[in-house]
Amino acid sequence: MSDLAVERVQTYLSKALAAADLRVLSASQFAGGISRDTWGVDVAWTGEDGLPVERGLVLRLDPPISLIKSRRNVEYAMYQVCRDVPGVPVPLMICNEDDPEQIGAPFFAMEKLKGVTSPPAILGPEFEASRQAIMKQMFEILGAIAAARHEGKGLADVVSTPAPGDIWDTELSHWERIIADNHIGHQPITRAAIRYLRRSPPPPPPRVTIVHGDYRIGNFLFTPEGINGILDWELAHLGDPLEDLAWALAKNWRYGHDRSRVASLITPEQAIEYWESTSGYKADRAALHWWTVFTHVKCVALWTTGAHEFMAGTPRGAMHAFPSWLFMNAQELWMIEEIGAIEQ
Amino acid sequence: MKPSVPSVLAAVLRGIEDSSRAEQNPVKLFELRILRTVIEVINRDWDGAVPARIAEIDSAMSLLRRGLPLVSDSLRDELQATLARNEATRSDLHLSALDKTIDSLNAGLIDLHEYLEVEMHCTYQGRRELIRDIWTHLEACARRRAVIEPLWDVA
Repeated sequence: MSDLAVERVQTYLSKALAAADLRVLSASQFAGGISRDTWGVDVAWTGEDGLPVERGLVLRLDPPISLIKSRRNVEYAMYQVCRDVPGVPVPLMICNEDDPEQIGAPFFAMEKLKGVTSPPAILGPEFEASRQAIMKQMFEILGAIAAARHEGKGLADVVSTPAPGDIWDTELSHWERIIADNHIGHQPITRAAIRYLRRSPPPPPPRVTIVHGDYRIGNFLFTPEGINGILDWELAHLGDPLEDLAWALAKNWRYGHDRSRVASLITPEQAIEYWESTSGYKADRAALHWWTVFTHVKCVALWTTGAHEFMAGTPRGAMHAFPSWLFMNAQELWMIEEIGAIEQ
Repeated sequence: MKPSVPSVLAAVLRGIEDSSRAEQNPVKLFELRILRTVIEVINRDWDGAVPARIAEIDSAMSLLRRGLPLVSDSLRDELQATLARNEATRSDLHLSALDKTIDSLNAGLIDLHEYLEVEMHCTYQGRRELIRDIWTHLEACARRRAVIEPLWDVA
């Protein structure tokens, strides 16, 4: 949706928030939004005490086509469960609507938090004093997600709970199938990486945990005071916590002057140490290596899906073509490097 | 002679940079960044697009030919058919035709690579060398296509 149906949004939110005189003050679309259209909406109404109330909301709308098929209900449930997890900041959820007729597309709404998500921003002068602490916090929060008790919180209604020993095969088969279903050409490097992963599976995790699925710089809000909210849970599932750790350390997010560090700021070893301090787990290095190669396969699956949808005539056009242009072959180079294929 | 395509694309890139500096809308800025990336890649690859693809095709065909004596009869038949089919269409130098040839050869390389990995217990020394050379070929192809600098810091 390139335009937000503001009047319909106003009508809907006035009911959802039980605020008859609610009005939309402003609405603006956020940049990026490969998987969903995201809008910031400021609203105002008169509170029960007669005083004016103003609130910022974020609306996440299902697009007609997405890099990943909509898992909005999973995303909504994950936000709600993590709201109760100590040390994991997430926004308050307002409503989740399946009916596309209400505002033009299925969507959910949540409170708008302060902060920026832009990866380059953390290297700017505003964050000079706080950037190291923010990166430390990033991996401590990820550890807290791994440690979270999710049983009995309703997640079983929206996601399956795999047996620990099945997780690697379930995940690898899932993304392998996505690559096959979105065929854009033969990919000999990715196919070789998948065979490599199948030849040497990782040990099962100590327990099945919440996995964010796209935990990285760029998917959380931060201010000079620290991280305010973990966002973009659309790939969340139950699985092996090392999947998230490997993803967060991926070379995709190692930008700036020092490519040995995430965001030029934190080495993998430092990050692992912070993660271990809050997760209570030891990161098995061989298993982490397996999940690192898996990360590259999963990334290729995402870029392949986007490229396929672009070639099929997606209305979101260049937004889908861009990641495959930018990352596909670099991802293959990282696979080769990680596997050590040339040295063999 | 008209200005070269790369020189025109370079001018277009400068125009995009100017527009980006003046643009306040984050969505439009992101779209300009996409446009800049695509033009940068076209500009980089413009002059060498055909010879790079021909070199890639030559390399892949050479690897498939080297694999013929090492594989099963059925796979040998498939690889020979792939080689013959692509040999017959090599005079077509359209980029789309060359890319189609590369994709077809990649299918053969996947089959050959997988076969050689499974048969690694066999002692024929050519197998290990061929696997190494397939990886070297694949790495060179990925490196040619990769967009690496200076775009890692895309938000």
